[in-house]
This record gives sequence, C-alpha cells and structure tokens, in this order.
Amino acid sequence: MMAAAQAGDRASYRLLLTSSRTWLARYYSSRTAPQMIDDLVQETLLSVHSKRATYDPARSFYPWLAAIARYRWIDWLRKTVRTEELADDMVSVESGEEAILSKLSLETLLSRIPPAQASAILWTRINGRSIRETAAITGQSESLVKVNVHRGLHKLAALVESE
Amino acid sequence: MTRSSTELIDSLVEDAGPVRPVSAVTGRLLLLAVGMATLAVMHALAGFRDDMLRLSPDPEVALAAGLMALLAVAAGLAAVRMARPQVGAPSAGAPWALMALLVVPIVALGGLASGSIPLSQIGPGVDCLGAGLAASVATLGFLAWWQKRGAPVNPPRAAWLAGLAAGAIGSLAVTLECPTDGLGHIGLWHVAVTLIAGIAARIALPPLLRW
Repeated sequence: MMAAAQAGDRASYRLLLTSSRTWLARYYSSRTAPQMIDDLVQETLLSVHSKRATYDPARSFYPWLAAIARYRWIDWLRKTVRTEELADDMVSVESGEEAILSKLSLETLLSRIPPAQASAILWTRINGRSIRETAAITGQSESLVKVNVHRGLHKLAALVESE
Repeated sequence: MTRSSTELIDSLVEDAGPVRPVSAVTGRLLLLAVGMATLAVMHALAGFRDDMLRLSPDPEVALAAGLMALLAVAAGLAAVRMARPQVGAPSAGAPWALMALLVVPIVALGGLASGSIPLSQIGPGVDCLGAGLAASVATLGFLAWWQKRGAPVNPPRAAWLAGLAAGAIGSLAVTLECPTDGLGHIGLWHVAVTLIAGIAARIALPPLLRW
C-alpha cells in the first residue's frame, strides 16, 4: 500500500493512514497519558507524510512506521524535559510528564541513574512532594534537589533514546 | 478516532503526490564518489607516497591504511542506511572496524611505553592532523546532507557514524600521502583524525539531524 502511495495512489494512501492511525493509537496507549495520544498520533502521521520517500518498498511497512513512532515519542519526551527546564516552579508537574514517567518501567530506569538523582525524581515527580520536603527527606539541599531532578530527567531521556 | 485526526488524514491525502523513494544505492554511490574525490584532491595537492603508487607499501603503513579503509566503508554504509527509519541498529560492522583500527594506536602506545618504538618516531604531526581533518570535511558534509534529507531515527548514532566515516577517509588520505613510516606516528597522529572527527560530529551534528 505504501509503495502505491509513493506512486501517488490516494485511495491506497488514505487506507494506509487510517490503519496507521489505529496502530499508532494502540502503540502510544502503552507509553503515554491518554490525553496525549491523539496529539502524538497526529504528529506521527505528519512525519509519515513528510518522510514517506524514506520508505523502502522492498521492506515491510510496520517496522518503518514503528521506527518513526518511537522517534516521535522520544522527541516528545525530550520536549517535555526542556519544558521542565524552562518552568519557574520546580514543584509543578505536568500531567504528561508524570504519565510518561509512570510508563517507563521506572524501577529499571531509576536504577540506572545516580541514587541522589533517582531519589530526587522519585520524591518530587512520583510522590508529589515539594522541593523543601524532598530536601528534608533526602538530606540534600534544596538547590541540589533541583539540580538532581534536572540532570536525572536528562539522563532518563537519554536512556530511553539509546534503548 | 477523532474528528481532528480524520481531517488531518483528509488534508494529507489531498496533498499526496508521487514521491521518489530515497535510494540507498544512490547514497552509496555518492559516498564512494565523495571519498574518491577526496583522495584524488589529496593526491593532486600533496602527492601520494611513492611506495603506495608502486603498490609495494611499507607493511605497517599498508596495514593501517587497510584498517582505515575498512572503517570508512563500514561506517559510511551504516551512515547512509541510517537515513531511513528502521528498527534495530544497522551499524553492526562499524564498531568492530573501529576496534580493529584502535589496535594501531594501542600497539603504538605499548611500543612507546616499552621502548620498542622510539619517541622520535612520533615526529611532528600537527600538519598531518590538520590535513586529515580538512580531508574529512567533504565526506562529513555529504553524509550530514544525506541524513538530513532522510529521516534518521537515532541522530546521535547517525552523527557518530558519519563522523567516523568522514574521519576514516581523512585518516586514509593523509596516510597515503604522509612520507613518515612507523606505527608511532600513524597510530597517534593519523588515527587521531578519525577519533576527533567522530567525536566532533557526535557533539555537533545531532541537533541538525533532528526532524
């Protein structure tokens, strides 16, 4: 179908995009918050459209689609981390970020970053404690908690990207 | 299934015209052309070693040049393939080729440490380093353009492979030209070109390759 779409067959292309939408919704449902799924699906469909020339007609379509879907998901995760960096209020937690973290096999990922960073993320982002409370619980200074959250989130994003 | 995504699909279908699939064969041929052009320019500007032109090179130089060519091919082909979204790592051969090349500086450092390679063999190498890096630019530029034109789904890895391929071409070019024999010089100054190009590309390119 994608080969036909590359040749300009619009009916095949419509069918392909419609089935891709269903596949992508299922793919993202296990990776992000429900309210973010449609945005990610649409972003991915736009990527499919703009990069459709990179599909190799000799290969299967869904591995190509899966690679793009995974890339868009990681990109969205990176944007979320950047948004976090720009936020003035370090305590506020965006619902999307919280949902991502809850989906990322947290125990496994947190075990792969320094304990101080994992602890800062766990208390502020997962348990919803303030910076001050986290500082008291972990014995870190408030500024160190902020730094550890920043660096830890960066490392989590890099870990997901490298897997 | 929301109304907005249905509208999006309608607009994408409306916008869909024929596209020419990105051809990996074209990418490989262009890479070969850029690599050969780089070597030709180096020969025109500095001249290859006489023993290379006579096809009877010093064995150590030939070994190092062969390993550089191997890495250039392995990393270059992988960098071309990475312009296409795909699951899994298409770069399986490149890390082995890099490790094989790294044997050269390791042997050189071991020889220098044990005294079997005299310190004087290292020789002045800044010119070699500069020439090698300059010879890397065209390949790196081509691979960056090729990947940007495609859709690399792992920009850091794509950038690293592009840098290694470009650096290996630069190392090879300067090894074919440089009159200095010995692993002490080649292992440190010439191989450094590959590593510097790889690291520089790994740092600088990913933001440019994101899409």
